[in-house]
Amino acid sequence: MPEGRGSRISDAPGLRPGAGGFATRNPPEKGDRLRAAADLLDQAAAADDKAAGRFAEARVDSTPFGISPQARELAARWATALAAREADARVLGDATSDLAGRLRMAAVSTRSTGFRGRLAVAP
Amino acid sequence: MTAEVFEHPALVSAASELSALRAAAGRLGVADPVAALRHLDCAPASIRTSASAVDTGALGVTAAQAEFRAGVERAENGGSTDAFGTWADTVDGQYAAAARAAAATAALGVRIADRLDELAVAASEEVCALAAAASAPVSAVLAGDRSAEVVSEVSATCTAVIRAVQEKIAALTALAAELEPLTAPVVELS
Repeated sequence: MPEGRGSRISDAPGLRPGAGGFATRNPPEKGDRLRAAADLLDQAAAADDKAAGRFAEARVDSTPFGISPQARELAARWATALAAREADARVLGDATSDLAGRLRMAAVSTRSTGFRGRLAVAP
Repeated sequence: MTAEVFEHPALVSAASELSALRAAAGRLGVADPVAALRHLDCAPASIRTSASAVDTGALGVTAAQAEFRAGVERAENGGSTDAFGTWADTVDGQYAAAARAAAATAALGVRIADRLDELAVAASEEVCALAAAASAPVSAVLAGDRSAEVVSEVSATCTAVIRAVQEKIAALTALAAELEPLTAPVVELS
């Protein structure tokens, strides 16, 4: 799990707990549950990063496809498809990490406001 | 005689079979049939290795989705909002789309490797048959015969070899077209 994924939440003031979103009543122990949920989402984000790494490792140069223009075009599209799969995994990882961060913020809010935590999750 | 260096073993064999034809072509100054084979040379094993890595990545996305769902379930049991659940459903759907696209990419990679293999083998068989059929005029040319008939036969055989290779190469365009839909990201989260 890369460092600092959750820190990006602080870059989105409009999504901070207490700045809007949806109120819910969270007793203190619910904060622990939200943190545990955030941990699971962080694991999912780490798995996304690992998958993205696999797609990156799959890259090959054009040689195995051949030297004809048609083979080079095929190789170029293969490379583009791999890049697309890597991008998919990274976007999922980012989105999942964002959700984990928001759960953590909501858990903190639960602690600081007692029974009036907020969890903002709008995309 | 030194074996020609090709990635694909079938083409190594074909190049060997075409050595006399190539020598005759050189004497007559017509197109080199072995050089034509180079345009079809490929290394399907490397592409299979690449596809295998993609398949591993696809399984990784599926595993990530399972962990994502576990986290979402825990959050919902922990008092998350309906809005959280709605957004989580959206992300979950994108996980499924990404996993499908990755699995499809891996499968097509394997098929591309198989097809390249088939084309190389088929071309090799075809050009070897052409060379075998022209063995008499090839021998005649190599022995110094320059009669119109043998020269024409050797030249026509070299042209046929080149055409056979070109036909196989043309098949790659269809594979590229199949790959095209997988070249764009499928995850859309904004």
